[in-house]
Amino acid sequence: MKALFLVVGSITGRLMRRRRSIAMFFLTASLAPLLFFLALGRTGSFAAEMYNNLTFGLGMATVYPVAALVVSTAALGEERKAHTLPFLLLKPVPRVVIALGALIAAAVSAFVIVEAGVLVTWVVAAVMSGDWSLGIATTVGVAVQCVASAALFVPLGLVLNRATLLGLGYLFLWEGILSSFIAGIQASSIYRIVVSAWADFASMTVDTYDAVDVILGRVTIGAGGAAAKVAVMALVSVMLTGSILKRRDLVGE
Amino acid sequence: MTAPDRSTDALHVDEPTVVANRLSKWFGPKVAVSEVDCSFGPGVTGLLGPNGAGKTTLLRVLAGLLTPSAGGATILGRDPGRKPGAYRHLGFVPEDEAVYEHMTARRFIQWSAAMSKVEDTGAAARRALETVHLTKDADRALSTFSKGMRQRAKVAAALVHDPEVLLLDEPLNGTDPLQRARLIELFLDLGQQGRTIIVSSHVLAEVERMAGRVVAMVDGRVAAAGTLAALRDAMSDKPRLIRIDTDRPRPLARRLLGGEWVESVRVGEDGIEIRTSDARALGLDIAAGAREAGARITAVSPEDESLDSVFRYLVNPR
Ligand SMILES: Nc1ncnc2c1ncn2[C@@H]1O[C@H](COP(=O)(O)OP(=O)(O)O)[C@@H](O)[C@H]1O
Ligand SMILES: [Mg+2]
Repeated sequence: MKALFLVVGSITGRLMRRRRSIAMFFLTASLAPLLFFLALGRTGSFAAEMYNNLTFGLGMATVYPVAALVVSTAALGEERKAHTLPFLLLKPVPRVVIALGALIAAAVSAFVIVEAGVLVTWVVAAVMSGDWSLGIATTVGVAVQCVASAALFVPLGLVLNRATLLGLGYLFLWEGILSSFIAGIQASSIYRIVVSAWADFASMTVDTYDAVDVILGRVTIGAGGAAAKVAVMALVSVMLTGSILKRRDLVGE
Repeated sequence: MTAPDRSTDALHVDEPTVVANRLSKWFGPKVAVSEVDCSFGPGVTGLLGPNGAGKTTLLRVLAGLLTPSAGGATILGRDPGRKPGAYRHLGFVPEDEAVYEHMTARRFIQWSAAMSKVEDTGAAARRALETVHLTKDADRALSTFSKGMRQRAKVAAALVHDPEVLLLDEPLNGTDPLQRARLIELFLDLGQQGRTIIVSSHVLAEVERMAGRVVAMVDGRVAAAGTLAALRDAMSDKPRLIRIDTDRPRPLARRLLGGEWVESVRVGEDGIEIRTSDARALGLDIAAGAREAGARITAVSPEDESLDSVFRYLVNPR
C-alpha cells in the first residue's frame, strides 16, 4: 500500500511539472473564451445550451481526450525515455503495483489538468447563464475520460516512442470517423462512453438531446454503465502493463 | 565427466554472491555479452573493459533489467528479474546521468529508501547523504546538480537500504579528483564490510586503486580475470612495440639487435620500431646502445600501450 502511494507520488510529481501538461491546461481552458464570444449578448439559456454543445461536441470529442492522451503516454513513457526506469524497477515492489501506480498517477494528473481548464469554462458558463450546476456533468465525463485514457495509453507509452502520435491517429480515425459509421464498434468508443456518462447528469435542451442521441447510436445513457466499462479497461490495462514490466528489456541504449 | 573445479579457476570465487551462468545477451544481430561464465564475491571487483565491451549490458542483465538471451544470472541465489523481493538486498547505480529532476536530493534518497522498505527513511537518507558528502546540498533540486553530484546522489540512493550487493556502472564518470578519491574510499569500506561491490570502468588506473580482483571484458567476453598482479603478468608476457626516434637509425638498430630481448626491428627514415619481449631490459640498453652507435635519440615511445590494444591481446594473443 505504501509502495503504491510512493509510485503514484513520484510519477504525479513529474507529470504535473511537465511543460506540456501546462500547455494541456491552456488547451482545455481555451473553450472558455470561445464560449464567451459565442454567447456574448445572448440569453442565459442560449449560453447554457452553447456550453453543453461545446462540451460534448468539442471538449469531449477532441480537446479533453487529446489532453488526457498527452499526459497518460508520459506516465511511464517519460520514465523510459529519460532513463529513470531503473529507479522504479529495481525496487522490491510487485510489478503490478508499479503498473497500478502509473495508471492512478496518469488518471489523477490528467484529471487535475483537464478539470482546471473545465473549471475556467464552467465559471464563464455559470456567470453567463446563471446556472452553476452546468459543470457537474462535465466533471463526471472528464473523470471517466481520464481513467479510460490512462488505461489505454499508459501501457502504449511504455512500449512505444511515438505513442502520442499513434494515440492522436486513434482518436481521429477510430473515435472520430470509423465509429460514426460502424454501429458495431460504437460500444468500444471511449468518446461514446464518456458522453453517455456526461448525458446522465447534464440538463439538456431537446435539440442537444437529439444531437447526443445521434452520436451515441446504440450506446445507452448511463454513468453506471460507463463507470463499469472503464473499470474493466483499467483492470485489463494494469495486468497488461504489469506483464510488460515483468518481461523486462525496457532499458536500452 | 566431472565438472571443473570452479573454486580454483580465476573466473570463479569460493563464496559467490553474484553469478553469471554462461550468460549471453544479444540485440538483434549484435552480440553484446557472449557466454560470460563467472562469479563475484565479497569485496570490490573491478569490471574493466573498453567502451562497447559489454559492461553495461552485463550489469543490466545481472540486475534483472534485461532478460538474458541465453544462460542466466543470480544474485544471492535468486534471479531478481523474476523475484523483485531480491531488490531489498541489491543496490544499482545506472550509467546514465538521469535522476528524478523534480525531486531534491533528500527527497530522491528518502523515496528510494521507502520504496526499498526501509523503516526510518529520514535517518537512512541523512546517513546516505553524509556518506557521499552531499549533506550541504541535500535540499537542492537534482535538476541543478552537476554530473559529479548526480553520481553521488545515485550512489547514496543505491546504498540507502544497506544492500549486500552493489552494482555500479562507471560511477566515477564526471567526478572530480577529490570526489573520486572519496568514492573509491567508500567502495573499499563497503567491500571491507563484506559486501559484494562490482564497479565497472574503462579506466585501468581507477580500477587499480580500488579493486583487489578484476574481471576484464572485451567484445562481450571475459578476457581475463584475477588479481591485478595476475592480470599484469598476463599483460607483461606480451611483446611490446617501442618506437625510437633517432638521427642514425641503421647503426642503432644493428647495435640493439644484439640484445636477446629484441625480437624484431624495423628501420625507418628517422627512427626504428622494436618488438621486444622485455621492455625494461631494452630500456636499460638504449642509452648505452646509442652511445656506442653514435646516435642521438630524440624520443622513445611505446606504440601499443593503450588499454584497448592490451585487451585485444588478452582475448586474441598472436
Ligand atoms: N539496447 C541495445 N540495442 C542494440 N545494441 C546495444 C544495446 N545495448 C548495448 N548495445 C551494444 O552492445 C555493445 C555493448 O555495449 P555496452 O554494454 O553498453 O558496453 P560498455 O558498457 O562496456 O561500454 C555495444 O556494441 C553496444 O552498441
Ligand atoms: Mg557502459
